[in-house]
Amino acid sequence: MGKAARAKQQRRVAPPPPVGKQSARDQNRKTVIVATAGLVAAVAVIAIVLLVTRSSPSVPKAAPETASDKNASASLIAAADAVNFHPTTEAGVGVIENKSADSAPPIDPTLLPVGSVAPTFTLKTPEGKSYSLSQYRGKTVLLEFFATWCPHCNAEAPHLRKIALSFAKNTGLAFLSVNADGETAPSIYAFHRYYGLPYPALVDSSSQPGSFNAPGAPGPVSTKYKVESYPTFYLVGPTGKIVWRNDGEQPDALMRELLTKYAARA
Amino acid sequence: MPDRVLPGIGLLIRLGAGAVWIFAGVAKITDLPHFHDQVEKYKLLPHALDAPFAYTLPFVEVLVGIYLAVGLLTRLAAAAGCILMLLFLIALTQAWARGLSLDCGCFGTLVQEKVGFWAIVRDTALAIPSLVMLIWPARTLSLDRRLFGSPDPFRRGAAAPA
Repeated sequence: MGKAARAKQQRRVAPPPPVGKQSARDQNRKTVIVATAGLVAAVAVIAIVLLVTRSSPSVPKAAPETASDKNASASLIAAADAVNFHPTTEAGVGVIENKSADSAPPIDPTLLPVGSVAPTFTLKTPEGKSYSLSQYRGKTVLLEFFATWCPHCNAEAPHLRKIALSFAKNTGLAFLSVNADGETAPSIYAFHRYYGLPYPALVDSSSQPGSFNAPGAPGPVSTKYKVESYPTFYLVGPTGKIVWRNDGEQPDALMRELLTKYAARA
Repeated sequence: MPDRVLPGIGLLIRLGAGAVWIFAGVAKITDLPHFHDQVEKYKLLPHALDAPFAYTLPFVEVLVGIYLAVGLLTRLAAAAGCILMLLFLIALTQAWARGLSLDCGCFGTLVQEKVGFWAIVRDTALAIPSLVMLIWPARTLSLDRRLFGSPDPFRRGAAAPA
């Protein structure tokens, strides 16, 4: 082997470390692996603690039935009773409603943009009464897309009821909710009745019908509004343009701020 | 090429890979409930697993990032990073294929981007440093080198990595 080749060979193959050094390295390796296992265990513990210490859920309370729900047909009431609706909840929900306006979740950019024209629609309540978005032209409309089984929507419902009642005398405002999971009329009626909601809940039927007991798929109106999660909110101004939108539960303070700010002037 | 350039490049790639993971993890940790919502929207996992996944993943990302940054168990950390990135790419691609209009959620609330072709391209690009570290784990200024004497494949004349 030539001198140059030998030198190259020496460069390529690192000399084995001395025995003492090697055993120290082996010891280091063991220590690092044990420490890493400890860190992974610590991460698991942190995650479990965070999960467990999330705010414990409180079950949203029922409210008195509205007159329209009381006057529903016997067949609808019977079908709604058969749904066996009960409020759903889970850890972490029903918290943000009581926080300050600036604790709202970030705006979901995938929703229809502010300034765009809100898609028009005509939908019916479970009782069969029609409502069109266009009939509210001149008013600001808070539009909520919800599902009856969704814990976030259940948490939000009593808050929306309170807010709607407190703005009841404001003629420049209206509230509408649209079921966004293609649920059946009895499911929607049962939800509306339980929470005593003072505004209509509309049926948006889809090719994959859902119910309180079985998730479905969004109907055509919900799809037009790009609803991917529940609840989704749109605030539609008096000219029919979207002035605000977001999804997820919202602080009551923010809702009140927005409704006060954007309410149509009578 | 001067002897320090290649190891320097390796070091930069390793630090870059570490920074990506640390940033991604910290961004999610700052708003875990929001990240939980994002995970739910992908509709990939059984509902009961959404929360445990959302509350664990960001810490794992930070851990992977720190290990890469300090060069400790570099190849193992890079392998974990590549597996995570592969999972993200599968999640993004299936959401895109299903026509879901979602915020990617890749960097919590700090960077908002819709699921789609460009989000997939970006994640693929961000996977490259981790992939390079999996193949050639750079050990300049690393704990691997200091503790185990592991050679740096970016250094000329280094023995082939084990």
